[in-house]
Amino acid sequence: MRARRVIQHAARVVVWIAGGALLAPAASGAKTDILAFTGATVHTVTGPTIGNATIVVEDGKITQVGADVTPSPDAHVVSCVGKHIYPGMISANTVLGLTEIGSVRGTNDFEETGNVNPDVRAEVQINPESDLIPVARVNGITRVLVVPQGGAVAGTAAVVTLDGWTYEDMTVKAPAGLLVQWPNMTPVHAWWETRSDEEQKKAREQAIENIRNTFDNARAYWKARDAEKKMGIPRHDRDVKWDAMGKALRGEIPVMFRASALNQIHAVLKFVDEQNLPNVILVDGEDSWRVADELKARNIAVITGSTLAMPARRYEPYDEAFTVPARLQAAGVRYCISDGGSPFVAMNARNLPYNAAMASAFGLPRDEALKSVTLYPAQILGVADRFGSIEPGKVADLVVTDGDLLEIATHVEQVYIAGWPISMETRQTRLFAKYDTRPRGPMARKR
Amino acid sequence: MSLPLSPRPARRLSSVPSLHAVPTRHPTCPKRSSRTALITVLATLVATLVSSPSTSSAATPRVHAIVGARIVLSPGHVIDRGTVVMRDGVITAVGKDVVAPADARIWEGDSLTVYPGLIDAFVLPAEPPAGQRPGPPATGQRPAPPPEPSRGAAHSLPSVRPEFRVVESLPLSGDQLESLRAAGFAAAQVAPRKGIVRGSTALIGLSGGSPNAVVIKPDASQVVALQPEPMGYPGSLMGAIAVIRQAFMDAHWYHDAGEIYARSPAGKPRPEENVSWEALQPVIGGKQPAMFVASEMLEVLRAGAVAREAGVRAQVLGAGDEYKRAKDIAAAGLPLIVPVNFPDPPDVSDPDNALDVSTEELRDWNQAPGNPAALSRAGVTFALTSNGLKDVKSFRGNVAKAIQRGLDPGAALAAVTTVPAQLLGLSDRLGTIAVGKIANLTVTRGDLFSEKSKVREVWVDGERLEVPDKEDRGMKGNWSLAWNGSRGSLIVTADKDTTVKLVVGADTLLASNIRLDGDRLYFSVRIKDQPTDRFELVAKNDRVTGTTHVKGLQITGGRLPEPEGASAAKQNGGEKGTPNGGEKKGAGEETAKAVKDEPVVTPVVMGNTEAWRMPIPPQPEVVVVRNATVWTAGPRGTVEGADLLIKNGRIAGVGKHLPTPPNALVIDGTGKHVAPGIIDCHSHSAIVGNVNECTNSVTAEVRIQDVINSESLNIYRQLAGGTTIMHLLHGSCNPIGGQCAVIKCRWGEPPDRLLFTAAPPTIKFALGENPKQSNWDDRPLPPRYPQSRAGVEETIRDAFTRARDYRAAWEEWRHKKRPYPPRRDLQLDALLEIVESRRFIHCHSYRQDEILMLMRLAEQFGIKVQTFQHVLEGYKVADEMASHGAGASTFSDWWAYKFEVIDAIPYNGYLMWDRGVTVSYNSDSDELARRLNTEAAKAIKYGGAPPEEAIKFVTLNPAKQLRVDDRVGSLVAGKDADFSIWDGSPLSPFSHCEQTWIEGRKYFDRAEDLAGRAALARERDELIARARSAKKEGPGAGPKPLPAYLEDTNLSGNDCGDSDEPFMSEELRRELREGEVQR
Repeated sequence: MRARRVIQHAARVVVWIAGGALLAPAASGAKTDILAFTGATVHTVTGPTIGNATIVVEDGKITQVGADVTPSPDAHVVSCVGKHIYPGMISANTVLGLTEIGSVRGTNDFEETGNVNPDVRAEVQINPESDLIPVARVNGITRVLVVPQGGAVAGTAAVVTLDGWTYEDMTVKAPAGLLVQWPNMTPVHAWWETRSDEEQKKAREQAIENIRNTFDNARAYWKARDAEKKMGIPRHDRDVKWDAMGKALRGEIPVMFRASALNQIHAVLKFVDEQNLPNVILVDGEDSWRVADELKARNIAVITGSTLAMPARRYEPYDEAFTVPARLQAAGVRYCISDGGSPFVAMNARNLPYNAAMASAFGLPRDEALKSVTLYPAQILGVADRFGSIEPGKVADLVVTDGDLLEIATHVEQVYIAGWPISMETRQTRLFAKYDTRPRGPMARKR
Repeated sequence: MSLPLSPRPARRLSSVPSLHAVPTRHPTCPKRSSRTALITVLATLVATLVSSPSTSSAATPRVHAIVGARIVLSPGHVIDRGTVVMRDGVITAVGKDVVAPADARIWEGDSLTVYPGLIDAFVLPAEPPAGQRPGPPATGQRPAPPPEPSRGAAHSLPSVRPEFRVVESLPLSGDQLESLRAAGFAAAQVAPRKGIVRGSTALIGLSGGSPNAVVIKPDASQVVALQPEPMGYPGSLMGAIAVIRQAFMDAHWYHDAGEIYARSPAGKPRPEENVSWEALQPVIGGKQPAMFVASEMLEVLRAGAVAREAGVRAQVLGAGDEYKRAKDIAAAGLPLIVPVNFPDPPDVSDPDNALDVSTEELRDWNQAPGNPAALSRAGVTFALTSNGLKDVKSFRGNVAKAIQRGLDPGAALAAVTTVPAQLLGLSDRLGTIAVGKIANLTVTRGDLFSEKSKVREVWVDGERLEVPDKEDRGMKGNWSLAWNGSRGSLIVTADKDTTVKLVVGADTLLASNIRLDGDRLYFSVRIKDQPTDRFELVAKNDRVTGTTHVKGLQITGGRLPEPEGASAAKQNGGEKGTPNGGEKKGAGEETAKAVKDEPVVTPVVMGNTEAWRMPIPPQPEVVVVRNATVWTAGPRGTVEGADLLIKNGRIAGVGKHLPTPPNALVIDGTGKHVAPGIIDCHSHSAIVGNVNECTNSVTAEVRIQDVINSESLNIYRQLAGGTTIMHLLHGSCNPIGGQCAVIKCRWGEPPDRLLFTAAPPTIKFALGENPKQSNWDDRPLPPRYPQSRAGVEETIRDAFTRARDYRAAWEEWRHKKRPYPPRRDLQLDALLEIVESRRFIHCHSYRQDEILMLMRLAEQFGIKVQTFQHVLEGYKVADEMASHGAGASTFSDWWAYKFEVIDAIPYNGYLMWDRGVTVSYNSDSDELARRLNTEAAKAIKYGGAPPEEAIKFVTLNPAKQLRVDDRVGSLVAGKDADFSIWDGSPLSPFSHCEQTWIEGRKYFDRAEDLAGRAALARERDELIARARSAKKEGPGAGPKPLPAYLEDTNLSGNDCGDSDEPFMSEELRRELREGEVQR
């Protein structure tokens, strides 16, 4: 197994070296499982940004980082003079891999029918060959949280790497969280809503009751199961739904409540207290900054929605959504920035960094903006021991650029996932290459 | 009884013939016999008072006199105590000293006020009970059209029915008549309910007589509603406007063709007969006004524009929010009929939910009662109507609120009397109390516009119609009594114990032996040296009748208004308040209440979300931005350390150390970047209602220009992202959609002044999945042609061909080769403009085959496709586009949302640019339009366009595509001073926009926006606090649906498979919404 991977690695490095002008050819006889990136400005995220630094990667893991690191002579040296190196970005809320073409139903797997689906597992339906994945990855997104949608208890999310032959290869951590979509609490008066306020309220209360029953029943189930070891307690039939909720009930994985408006968030907090849930994440949390203290008191982290969004309410200032991360940061709430995870932005998961940049344009410190799409999602998703920064011991997810990773005009030149230079080709680059070489017409710019 | 009462003036009673024998001159102690005679007469009188007027037979004389009443002849002209005489339905005498004729029936007017009969200038017949109406359809499905009964030789659209006449569908229901009368109305203009061009109204008296008798003026006006149809064409507001415009043109054509034929019919083909067009002749001939129905204040302006264009006289039924743009509405010069359906306080009881109550809703609740006063101040002629009230009963009380908010009481009265009379062309017969006028009167106890007062009776055509009192208070209260030619007043209080005081002259007599039994009161009183009289009184409907032990003696009387102090004390909840003692306190309460009723003042600061409140920013003569990095997007590229000089709204120069006059406004640009105003070539951000007229394959007749939403907050939010121009496009529902509009983001201006008039006309075309409706699932209706790309091509080819034929027809007419002029057709007009390169195509497109197809088709007709929109496969045919001369307005990086965009690549913009196409990046999104600057940076990222070129993707290039690059798009001397100032490179997502200027006026300033937030928050808090305490006051008009201009543009029908909203016409939307609200 190891041998095969090394061979693949070598082959891919060669392909990349042949294809890119970036790198000097490696010293002959270099061992391909030791890489040394030299001469770059390294944005470690956890530590200071280091100029003209070297990163040594062995067997996919970072072993050394620093300005005065001397790589071993075995190392394959990748010269990155004048370049920047960042840790791979983590998109903490996406349906990447679960959708291909929004309007073609047959390509969509992000939503199951029914309200209580804790046993729906995001990772088992990931299409590794999705054309959307490479498009995200070549902009420096290396790990993502794939989140199922639909219903109330939507299923479990998985941390996934954007490179691999199969979904098993790709899965980093599963289950990574139990997704609960909190019902809308505000009466809808839109033209398409045919129910009265009262009917809506009834439906809402019923929906909340269903969530409560789900948790209560699952807890009763686990109590009974745990008691089986004791004398005289009979065996109980297994239930795949309640089985799937065990980890979340015990706090081994977080319950991720998707809630935006204040009334939803308040209801979630009440529910969390009432259920005594030890491990909770708030997803979206448009109004989360309004209850920063309550979140802090419960150590609840927020995976924000997209900052590139309209204010939810007409009277809110035009920059309301731009400033949510800065407000959470200032209040000391743990947070990270996502693109909102809507199925309609999956194809543009690559634009995650610009959500962070917008937050920065409106008050979030620049170093925080970078953390909000690297280290912070890793921490919140419980994978910061492996991802989210450039430091010894972490997995070598590295992004080599010609400028600030969060700047749109910056070009990502090479992405490494676990020390492997991934192909920078996508469906889009192939079409670009093809039509860029179409014979030029009379009006074309002179080259 | 023998009381030292003042004698009754003889002249009054002398008019009653049977009273001739009564010795009325005896001041005191009349003989018992004569007293009895008088009492008999009074008894008869009382009997008729309480009898139902509808039972009067034809032989009953129709001569009446109301005597002793306060008479308001007309606004501002009051007789404190006088007489009105009516004969055969006409007022024959009125005045202080008028003597009632001998044959008149006398009506005591003591304590009553007589007003001219109120006129409601817009009443819809009550709707049939809900059970008989079809319910709203299930979401996602348009209802199948019900079979329409044939209307004969009428207009082909069911919504155009000008031949309908209310006068042929009378009468109104008895309930409706009664409730209108209870509100004080004596006459009403009844309007038809259904359709767009709805038919003629009728002005009727509200007596309940036969239709033949009650009609005062048939066909008073032609009602025109700017409302789309629930199904079928037109399905959008702009479609409805197109239908109206076309209908007036058709009426003209019908007139002209008819005349030509009538002059010499022989040998000519016979022009069609059309009763609808015939019915419009009085309107286009200026003989009948058009009454436009507006559902919000912008619609008043829209109606004004349509009327002006059609050259018809117009009046507008308003919606109650006209105060928002009262000045513009006054300038439109149309008389209005406005409702008083002031909204209830929004529900803010739950603080979490209160977050979701819009400030606009709170403010409207707070300010709507000031609407009539605002119109009055602006000089608008207006009538008030009960239309729109949930219960007509609340009409007078609501007018009272309007008066509290500054409406002059005289103007209020005029708005229900003289003004509607004038609007109806009936000033000679209605509106005032004067000799010769129709005997319509409204008789009240107390002031007409007061919640506490009552309408006692309404006179219609000289017929008295009593208004039953549903809140009869029995005998409690103050009464004026008359008996035996004498009078006095009676005070009955019944708090803990019942006390009864009889006031006769200067004496107050305390009654004893009292028994109060609901509406019956028994008491004994001893008057001076007379023996004790035992009274028995019965109250009904504020009238009292009764007897004493004196055989045959009848007492009559009416309720007096309560003294001020008593009512104030009562309002206070002070059970013990005395009639006289509470007065001072009561007055204080009134003042406190008045203060509380002052509306919360809205801060007019930058960041205020209501455009209409915002003043137009000043235009300094000279502005200089000093020492900035100026992205000119012109030949000079980006210049560092440069000054931008602006004079009178135009760019005067860009350069280092430009000399500036001392009066210049200097902005320090050190460290800043200046860019041309961003131009969004594809926007739907400021459109009212449905962006699609989705019903037909070709809808070139509809105009976005008609439905520009000047109140859209998107304008301000996009200014905050440096955007200064939007190209507002029709949707992509059909191969040839509607006409588009280019606006400048002049936040605060009304729709017509947002238009960028330098921009030549454009139109939306669409190719591919949307016009062929690929992504519309489960449509109950049969599919609309076309369903394939080839069908789209054919539809467009056919349209161009029809346009050429149309041109030929006009040529023939000009050369006298046709007997009749061609029928002017708004759709063909627009198509002809396209074929003649006077209107420019902006075509929604994705795949290379369809892009190529449209260019080739256009070339066959000798025209160019100005700009392809989206054009995500444009890179595959970029050379062909460049050779054709088509521009490309594309997304930077969107793809994969439907099958036809699977080959979309972010290099598209670069590749097309590289091949010589003029390329812009657009938003097609309210949100993205706020950051198009960073979209431009994607042309650098993907492909590698130089930054100086990338900035043009959102400035100069869209200006070229809209053919306005001589005016805007780059910072070059002579162009409009449309620019934005950034704290860093405009291409960086780390930068934010600091200021945005249009034509040398500063429309956005982030510092000011930040500074204004605290005041706006305070105002909102205050409004919520008031709404919270106001909630207890009880039910009112109920929540109002949000005006359309506060809603987002309805993009349904632009179905790309990513919308959960089913297609639904706007009308159906409104219906559902209203249904929702009613629940």
